[in-house]
Amino acid sequence: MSEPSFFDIAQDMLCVATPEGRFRRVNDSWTRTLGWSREELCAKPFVEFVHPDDRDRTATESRGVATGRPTFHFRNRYRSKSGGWHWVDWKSVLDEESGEIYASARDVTREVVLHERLAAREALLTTMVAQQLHAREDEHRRIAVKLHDSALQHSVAALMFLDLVPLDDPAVREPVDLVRGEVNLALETTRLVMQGLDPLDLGEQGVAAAIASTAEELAARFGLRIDLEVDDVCVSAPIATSLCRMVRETLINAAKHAHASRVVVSIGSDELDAWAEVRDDGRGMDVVDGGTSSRSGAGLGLAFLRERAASLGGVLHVTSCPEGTCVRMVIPSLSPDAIAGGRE
Amino acid sequence: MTKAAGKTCRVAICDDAETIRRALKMALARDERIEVVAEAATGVEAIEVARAVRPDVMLLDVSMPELNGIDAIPQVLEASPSTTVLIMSAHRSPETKARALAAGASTYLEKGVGMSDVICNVVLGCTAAPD
Repeated sequence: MSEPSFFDIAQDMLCVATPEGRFRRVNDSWTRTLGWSREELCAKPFVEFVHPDDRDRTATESRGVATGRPTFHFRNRYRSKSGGWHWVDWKSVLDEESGEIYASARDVTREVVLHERLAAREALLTTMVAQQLHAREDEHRRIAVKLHDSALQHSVAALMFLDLVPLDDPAVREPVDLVRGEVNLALETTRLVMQGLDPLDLGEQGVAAAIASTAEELAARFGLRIDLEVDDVCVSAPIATSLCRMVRETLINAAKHAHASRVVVSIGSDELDAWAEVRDDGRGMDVVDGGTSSRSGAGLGLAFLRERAASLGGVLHVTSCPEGTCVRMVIPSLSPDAIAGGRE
Repeated sequence: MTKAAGKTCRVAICDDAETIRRALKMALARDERIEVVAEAATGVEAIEVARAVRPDVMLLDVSMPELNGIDAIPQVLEASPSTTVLIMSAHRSPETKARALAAGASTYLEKGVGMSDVICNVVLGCTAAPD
């Protein structure tokens, strides 16, 4: 196949240009892409086809190529004959023998538009997740207030009333003690739930301290040994709050359902994700297709955790054996701007 | 001086939960050393009670509408310096306890303790309160 026909069948827009900034020769792809004829393209300086906002840097790039510095990654916009704009990626090089510039250009308009749409959707999704996080925290506060004002107060009052019952008669004492035990259990459960709903002051104490505080509380409550491996976590407050709450739920699962005695909590983050991993030495669970369990009774809790991670665009990985369980949660980080947008 | 032995201990109960006030009142009323002289359901009402009744002991909740118990303590004590303030709250955090004691509370009782403990602290608070 001869060189001229190879030049003309290329899908990319190929051209030969003068150092003064005019096309000397263009292939058919130019006409197919932009609608201009070869004659029209060669009739005036090519910069006149370039978007006004891109002209200065196009001129600068062209001068560089003309002095022997090749272009490998340059993008500008070219006007089509119908009036639209096409994004074009350039590669060009100077032919020192002829003094002319040989260039290959590719229409990447669709790619650019798709990228912009994807970025817009990503921004929208991020804002929605941030809104969801804030709404969830508001809901937590509301539920905590309701629990405090209702279940907790009524449980306390019930204990006080029980203290008024004369216990001289063993036939009375035994059921009263049983009722007191049940009310105390309800009270402690209410407190546990309320503490899990408490707003976390991450602004002051940070993620590591919040996790340490939670670990200390749960270690004392359940007799767990909890070791922390917390890196310097740098994530937005809502994400940090979500992670802390998920770790708390996982620790409670490990204590209550897996009957673990030792748990290791690791937390970390990078520019894309924040993650937490909770490894226990409990009795394990049946994990079906990466799903939830049936052996230990922790299945419902894990299902909630999985839903929560998914609602934040994240994932939950669970691996388990009779010697223990590892729950790893990964949540995409959110930008501060998105967080601010979510609060509005 | 502290209160003379044998004198009835005048107690005010301040809690926004009516059921808690009722339970406390019933329990305290069974002890002949104690007389419940007033009730309040908000921090603001607690200050008014302190000013009007000057109880020996005030059982004060933390989470209440209008003004929480801890923030009310300085004004309660200003209105009635001889009153002993006993906080009785569902909050367990050390920070809340520290704030309450720093504000002037004599004792911090967690809701859920037995009534015998409550009565014991009320009587002790009454005894310790200056005339």
